[in-house]
Amino acid sequence: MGLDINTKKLKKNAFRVSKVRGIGASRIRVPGGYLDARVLGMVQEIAEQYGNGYVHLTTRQGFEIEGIRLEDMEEINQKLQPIIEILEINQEETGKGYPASGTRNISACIGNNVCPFANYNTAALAKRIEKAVFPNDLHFKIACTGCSNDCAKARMHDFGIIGMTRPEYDPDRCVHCQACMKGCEKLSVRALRSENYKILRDEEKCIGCGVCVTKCPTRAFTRSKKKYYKLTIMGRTGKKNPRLGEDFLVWADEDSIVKIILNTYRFVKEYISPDAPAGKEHIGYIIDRVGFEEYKKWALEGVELPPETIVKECVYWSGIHYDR
Amino acid sequence: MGYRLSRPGAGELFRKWARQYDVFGPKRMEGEGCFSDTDVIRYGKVSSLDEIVWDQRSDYSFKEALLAINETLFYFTEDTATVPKGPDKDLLIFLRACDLNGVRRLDQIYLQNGPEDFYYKRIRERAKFVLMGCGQTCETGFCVSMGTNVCDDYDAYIKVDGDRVDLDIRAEELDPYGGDQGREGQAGTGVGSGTAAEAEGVAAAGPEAGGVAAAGSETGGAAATGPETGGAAAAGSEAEGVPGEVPVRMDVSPDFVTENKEKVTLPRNLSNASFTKEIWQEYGSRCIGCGRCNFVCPTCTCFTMQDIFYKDNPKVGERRRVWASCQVDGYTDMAGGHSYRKSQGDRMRFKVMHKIYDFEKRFGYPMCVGCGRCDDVCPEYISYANCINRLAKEESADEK
Repeated sequence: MGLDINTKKLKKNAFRVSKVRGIGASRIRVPGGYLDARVLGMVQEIAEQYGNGYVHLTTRQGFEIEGIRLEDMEEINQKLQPIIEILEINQEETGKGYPASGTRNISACIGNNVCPFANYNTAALAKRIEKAVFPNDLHFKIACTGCSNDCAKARMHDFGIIGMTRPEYDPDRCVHCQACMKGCEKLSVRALRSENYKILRDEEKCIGCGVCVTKCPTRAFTRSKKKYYKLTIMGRTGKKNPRLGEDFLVWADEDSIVKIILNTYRFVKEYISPDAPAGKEHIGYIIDRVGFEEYKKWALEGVELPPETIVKECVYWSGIHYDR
Repeated sequence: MGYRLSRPGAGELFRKWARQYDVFGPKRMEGEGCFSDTDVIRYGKVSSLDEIVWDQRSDYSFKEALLAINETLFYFTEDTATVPKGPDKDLLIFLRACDLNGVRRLDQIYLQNGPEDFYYKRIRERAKFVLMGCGQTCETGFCVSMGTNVCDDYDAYIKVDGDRVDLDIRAEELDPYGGDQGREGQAGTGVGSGTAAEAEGVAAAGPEAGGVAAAGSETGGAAATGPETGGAAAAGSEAEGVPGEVPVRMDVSPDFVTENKEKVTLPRNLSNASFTKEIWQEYGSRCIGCGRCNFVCPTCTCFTMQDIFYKDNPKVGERRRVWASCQVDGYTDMAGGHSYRKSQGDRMRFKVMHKIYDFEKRFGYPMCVGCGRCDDVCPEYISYANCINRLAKEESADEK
């Protein structure tokens, strides 16, 4: 008797059907890419006991345990239980694995836990957003990156959250060593210049990367107490029109970004194509169809942005069009 | 005179001091570190004992309390110049033994090295120093190697230990408790030569005296109710600045570190021949010339001059002096565009030789006080302490 398996349910339970008949893979997402090292041992155990001994580190910061027999899924779900608990992944029923969703694991660069350039704790924000949006069937890709270097490739996501800091300058502490200016010129956008032995910052040009702050040897430049973010939207890869996300908000706050993401789920539910394959359509294509103005209306509903936030009037995307 | 106070009692004493002095101490500046969500501990005006960081060495030294990073020397118009007024209030600076030894170096350069510096002098003579003891060594300091772990020229010593505060107040102006009256013996004066046994004696006396202090704080509490009942009397005592708590008189001698984790041996036979050593090239390849080592140093005194012509009226302006770093570009720039010590290796050599050779040759003692701040702040992990040890090691190898 052949295997009788509901592959839709299997996928919904974070397993994958592979090329090899009867063999699949178990997928474990790691929110923010940040995990307790104990999980590694547990993943190893499953891979060695049920899989072929190999694990793929997924592009969205998860594990994919290869070569597992689809008959073992129930047992594997038991084994996954402590991992799910440690990673605090959303779950409906204990011991039954977790529901995979259209909304992808929220990925993050290493952030300010470690990186000197990062302007915030990316994993913590990834987890906060995850709690707000998971589980969800709609196809959303979100990434958090600590600074404008964008190591997380946030700009290739529907929502890219790029850390910013507003440099605060105390002229009384400045010795005019020009380390900030040189740093800004060489590593960033040349937003600083000097006049009368003090530094002037071009606020329009400054991208809030924080290089001036890290370079300053006297603490004349420091970070703003408030954390700021750039929200880029509707970047994507794919067959039709891959493109980089464009700036929507600059100098935005965390709360507003979470609200906008939630609002976008409502927007998608309203406008998603009724014949979208498997009920999934990239948000970007929906906005392309509906128009940015309409999206913006939905996105900003009930959002109270700080006065310093720049909201782009209109957003235009480019990218390569293979579909025209 | 040695005293023991409760923490609230010491807070009251602090408030009395703060009325008379601008009090500077090491403060935690939250979020103002180099990296996101990191703090920096540096000097600033403090308004309570709680604001002072007791359990860590500050990242930047006390020196900015005496030497402003930017100091306007005079304002000028077409034909007149005006010297800005000096400090409004006297200064009280909380610092540790290494830094108090640093004050001696600043004095050496600004007061005993040719003509006295007017600007330094006028603030220096208004400054008093409160020594913060070091119950244990910091990670990177090597004050014991430099002989700067001890000091005797403080105006007051303070040790905050949980709920109790021990003080040795030497300056009359800082002592609201009557000083010598009721004084038994020579408490506190033999600090520099204080033996471990003496220190133990004080510690042993602790618990008993602590009991008395607690009683004292109770009466202090009663006195604190004073203002409600006897407003006039309380106002009178406030004007006199007499704190309510009666301190316990006892011998107090400062905690000094007697051993560091970091130990440094000074090379004794440095000379111009040391200029060519290969290690300078190695450091030169690592140093990025940011100047942090100079800016955190309690003994670096170099400044540069800036003439500023105001934008709205360039006939008016000011002359400032601003901290300078021998590691940063521009330090040796001269008229005509010439400059020397262009490589970072040469600059590192210059700094190290000044700290442990040139200064000593001139004044008889090394400049460095071994606070270890430069080692902790260097983003390229260059250890000045290790550099000195390497020089000493090479020297002893050369001798063999």
